[in-house]
Amino acid sequence: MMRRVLLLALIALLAPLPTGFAQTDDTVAMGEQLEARVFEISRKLRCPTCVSESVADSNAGISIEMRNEIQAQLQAGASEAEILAFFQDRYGDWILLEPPRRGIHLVVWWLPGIALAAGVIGLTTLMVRWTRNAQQATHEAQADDADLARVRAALQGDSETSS
Amino acid sequence: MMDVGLGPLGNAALYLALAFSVWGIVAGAIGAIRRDARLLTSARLAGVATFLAMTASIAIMEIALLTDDFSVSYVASTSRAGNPLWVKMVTLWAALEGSLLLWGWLLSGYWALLSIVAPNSPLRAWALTTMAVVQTFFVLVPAVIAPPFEVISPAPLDGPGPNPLLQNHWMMAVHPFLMYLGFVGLTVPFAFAMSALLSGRPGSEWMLQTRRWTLIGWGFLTAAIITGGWWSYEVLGWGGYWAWDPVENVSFLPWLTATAFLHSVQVQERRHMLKGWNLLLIILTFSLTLLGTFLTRSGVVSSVHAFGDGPVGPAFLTFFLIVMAGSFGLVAWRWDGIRDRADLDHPVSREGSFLAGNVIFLAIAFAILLGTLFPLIVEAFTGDKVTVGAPFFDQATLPLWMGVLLLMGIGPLLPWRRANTQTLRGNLAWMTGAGVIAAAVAYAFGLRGIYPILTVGLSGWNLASLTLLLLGAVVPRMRVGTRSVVQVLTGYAFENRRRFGSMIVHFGVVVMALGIMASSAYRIDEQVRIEVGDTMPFQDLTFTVQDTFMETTEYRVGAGAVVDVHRDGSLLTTLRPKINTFFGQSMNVPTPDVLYLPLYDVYLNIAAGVTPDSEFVVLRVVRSPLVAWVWIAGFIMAFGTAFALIPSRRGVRGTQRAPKGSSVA
Repeated sequence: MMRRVLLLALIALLAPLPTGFAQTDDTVAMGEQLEARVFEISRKLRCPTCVSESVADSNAGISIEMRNEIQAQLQAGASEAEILAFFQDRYGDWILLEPPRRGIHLVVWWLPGIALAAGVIGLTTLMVRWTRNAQQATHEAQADDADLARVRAALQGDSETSS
Repeated sequence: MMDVGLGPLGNAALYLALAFSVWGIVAGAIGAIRRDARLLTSARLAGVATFLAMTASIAIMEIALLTDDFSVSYVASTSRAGNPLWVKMVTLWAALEGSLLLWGWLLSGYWALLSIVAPNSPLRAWALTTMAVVQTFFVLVPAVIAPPFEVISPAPLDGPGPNPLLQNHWMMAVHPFLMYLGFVGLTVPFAFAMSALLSGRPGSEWMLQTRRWTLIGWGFLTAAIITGGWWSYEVLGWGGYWAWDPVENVSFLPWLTATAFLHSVQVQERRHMLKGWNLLLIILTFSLTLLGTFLTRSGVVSSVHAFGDGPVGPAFLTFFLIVMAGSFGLVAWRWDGIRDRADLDHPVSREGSFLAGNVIFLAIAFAILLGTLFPLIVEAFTGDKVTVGAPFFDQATLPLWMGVLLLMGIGPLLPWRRANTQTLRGNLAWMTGAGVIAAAVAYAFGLRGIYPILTVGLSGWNLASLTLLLLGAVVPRMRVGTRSVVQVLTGYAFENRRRFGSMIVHFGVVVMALGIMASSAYRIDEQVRIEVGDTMPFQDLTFTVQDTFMETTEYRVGAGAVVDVHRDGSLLTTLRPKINTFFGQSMNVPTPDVLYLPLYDVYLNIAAGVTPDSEFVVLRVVRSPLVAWVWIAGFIMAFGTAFALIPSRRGVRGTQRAPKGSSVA
């Protein structure tokens, strides 16, 4: 029963999505695809004159020119890698919003992972120690019969007063 | 001279506030050491007096802004006589000096409030003294380091007005205010943590007393970050709301550590462990608000060449270092009282999941901090310029966000100490089932790529978890009574406000995750050129450019296009994107127009200048699915936080004097 309800709820929730997501394929589809590629690639490039905007997001003159350049190169059959390399030749690695995975940039790529691993290892070690502590504590606190009798008496007294 | 100008008057108020807050430190510290009740009362009055003096300085600045007194330096540099009233009012926080003054004022409000309402506990004296120390810094800044009340003689006739990006949208009136309320809100638990260390009571008392303050600070910070995103969506003209810009990143860092703190204090509350860790988290959170201000206000991050530009950056850096050294020094000093023998019954328990969540939140914060600082570090050491942009932040944090969603589903369902294997298996089966179904449905509807599908799957997982939580609360209560579902549910919600509030917030997080996923992965961008009078199809819509227009108000000139948006032959709306130019400013401000729909937004922005006789317009068209749900999620999260904060009828510390029969949790 609950599974059905859940499923229905999910379908109801998600059913309207396709109108939001699907691409219409009519005659302009080709042009739209090209346009989409232009923005996809320009999202990976830094607008040279802005503070921290991508070429896709900026409306600065140079960004518009760069988008036109990307479009021209795509129409001429260039691949994404070739286009990125084209700009990299002219501006250096600095133009790429995604730091290349080599040289000094490896630090920024590897450190977060190392930090996470250190956190996980640290936490696991602590958890193992704490679990051992807990086991020891329960071991030390083993109740004898007299303790149990006292607890039972207390519990009975408690339930009488509170009910 | 005829009469005293507003500038000297404002400075007098600030110096008065400075004197009061320094007295707050002296009287508070000596009173705490000697246990002198009269000095301590005097220190509390200093808090109230500082607030009054700061209020006076704010009032003087507002009067100067509203009466166009350009002899006051801040008014001369950021206001403009011809601006509308509301813009003049919010100009108070439209530039550095004014916004720091606002920060100092809000802080003094919290300090004064705390002086009045904080319960008379052994922690109060040092907590108020710590507030006084922080306050002294935030009075020193406007009084000495970045003074807004300098006298300019002869006074200019007019000023340039605030940054046009800020006067272009009303949300500017809200976002910075919320941000500072969040920052100063988180100062309160920090002050109590310091007091716990100074007074040698590093137990859980400081944390319990500031539980609500922490939640208030966190709630404001959350709301501030979301309204900031919304503002950037409505104003910056690129159709997005989060660019991993340094300014955004550093405002996000304290939120991450505060979120970790919010969860791990519950572990200390229930299981009496993590004392040191929680102290560390609140110190980190408070320090990060200072570090963030240093990084963004000194120009260090956006441009390395502006290093040390202006004295505010170094001042914040110095205070940041003092806070770090001071608070970690205190932790070291009291270490013997902090370190405790922690017991963990089982890793698969509420506390286990909270701990794992803490590691993930800190890992996210670390990745963001590293990515933000990396260009700076590399340039300092090698002189090379490097860029760390959005693709890095996405790739580094997305897997971690998935981890957050995973834990958010399982954590609240796990009991403290140890999970019952049977129950856990049952719950996991339901949640996994819901997650897999949701992911499959998403796939069937055309979603591709690991993260979109994973996000939908984990949303299903979380919705199942929330459903199970509610069923677990409601079904047993239904069995014992004759009340209706609604009665039981509202009864449960109001008796367990914190828990129910957290469920609302978590639900908001799910909605937000879906909104962010859809709007970033399935966004369509296009730049189109349409002749005036022509119609152009775009996806399932058509745009008709009716006309171009040019409008002049007292404050600005706007030039744009009138665009009808049709779907299936019927008119949805008419959008009027334009470019505004404010008088006194040279910068053109894009002013996009957005059609908000439940399923997707249509976002139009003018991409190339329009004149009244233009024969065509160039539009940037963005269609991002579900983006409106990001803002709705923000409202849900704010509501959930507010719900958790409603005072319980049983009194604030209801948990301590649990009445009989309340053990049916």
